[in-house]
Amino acid sequence: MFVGFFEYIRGLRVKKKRVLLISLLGMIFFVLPLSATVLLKMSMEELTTSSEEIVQGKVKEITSQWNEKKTLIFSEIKIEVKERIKGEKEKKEIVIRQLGGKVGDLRLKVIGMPVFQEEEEVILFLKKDEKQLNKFYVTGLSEGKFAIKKEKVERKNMPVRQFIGNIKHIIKKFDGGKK
Amino acid sequence: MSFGKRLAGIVTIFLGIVCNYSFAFKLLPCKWARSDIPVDYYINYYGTPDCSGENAAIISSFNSWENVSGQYMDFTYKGPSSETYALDGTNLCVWIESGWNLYGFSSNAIAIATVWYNESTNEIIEADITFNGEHFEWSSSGESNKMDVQNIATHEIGHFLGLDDLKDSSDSEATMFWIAGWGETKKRTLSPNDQDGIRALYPGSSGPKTGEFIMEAKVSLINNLIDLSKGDTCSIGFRLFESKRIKINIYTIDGELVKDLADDVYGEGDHWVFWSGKNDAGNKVGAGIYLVKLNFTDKIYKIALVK
Repeated sequence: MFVGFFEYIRGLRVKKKRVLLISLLGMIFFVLPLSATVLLKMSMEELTTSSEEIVQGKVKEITSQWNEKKTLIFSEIKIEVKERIKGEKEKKEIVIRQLGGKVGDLRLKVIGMPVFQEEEEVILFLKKDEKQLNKFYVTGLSEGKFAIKKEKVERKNMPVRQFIGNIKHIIKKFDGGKK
Repeated sequence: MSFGKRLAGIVTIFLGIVCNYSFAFKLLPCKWARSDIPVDYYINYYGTPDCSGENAAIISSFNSWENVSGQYMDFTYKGPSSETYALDGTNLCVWIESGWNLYGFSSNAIAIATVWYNESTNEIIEADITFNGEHFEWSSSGESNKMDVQNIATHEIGHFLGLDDLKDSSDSEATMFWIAGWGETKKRTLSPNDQDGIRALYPGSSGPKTGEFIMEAKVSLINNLIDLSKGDTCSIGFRLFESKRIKINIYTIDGELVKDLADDVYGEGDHWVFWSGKNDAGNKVGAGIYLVKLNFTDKIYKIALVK
């Protein structure tokens, strides 16, 4: 059946071939679903304005341990800061504290929490931990973490400098350029 | 390049995009061991102050997954619990009304499922579901300006049993799609892809399930065959979503009443009654086929007694 289809195509006149080609191209753009707009997904503006710190950096160390009562496992992720995009003071290192992690064979997986790997390059949107003010958590769970691969922000398929430029534009628009 | 080659290229790209555009389902790296099924779960007795009926909504959510055909996952609601969010041997559904951010949970997270598992066996040890009561108002009836309990619970229970989020926009109609909206109720109904997910995790049949009735016979032999000489008993279970008067009677094959097994008001949840092969007078009945009738279903169940 597939071979018969190509024989049919070869038999078409040029004008009909062009119409068929345009129709197929049109199908690609109209059949593929459009991105959905969903109410509680955070926009880049919401991520940016609600975050207290935004940094580009590298994951240097991940450690996990039990809380005092041994009822929950928390992880601390040390980030070596390469560029501070938003925040009060210059920091060379930032520590993220989040629920989840592994102690021995036991893992606590928190669905939706960002997953880190040592040596990973990232851009992070952060808020201050309300219990340990010198530490942070990621805004919007995994929405606030953008992995960088080959100088591109993976999730956006965008060069890092362009992505950071967009964030700074939002900051300037909403905060008047205050840092 | 000839027209035919260009066309083949376009078709290939198109098919490639379509075929790689969405996942039917995604699995977590863990699941429940068969020996742990049915999985018990509890609901914190404070519930949510925003609405009533949240317990029934959560139970309905668990039932949605359980009632998928061709899989053996089973849940048992054990009732309200005073436990809080922690590793404590209790699979708990609980609202957090304050301190949501203390766990590192973002304010826009409507609910969170957490799964404890052994990484060497990938078996789930405990799973808990927390609902964000601090930043969201809840409804059990799909009110437009609130979060619907059953909608969100059905999604989180997907994680509870071992499914991961779907994030592609082409999966937006699936229960396991990671974004929800105000007043949304579509996640209450499992899509074919969601059903395929639970079948992939727990393939096979789980046995008879009709309506609200579950029947399990504790036997030495297979099926509903009770060997009285070995002290077997027949266990008859039923699940209620609201308080109800339940009558369960045992009859001979000729319709003669043998045992008035239950005649009482039972509350919401799972209940069990047992028959040890004795009649109302306390005497052991003879070997043969007996019929179990319940007042809330037309189905009649058979038990075979042997000595």
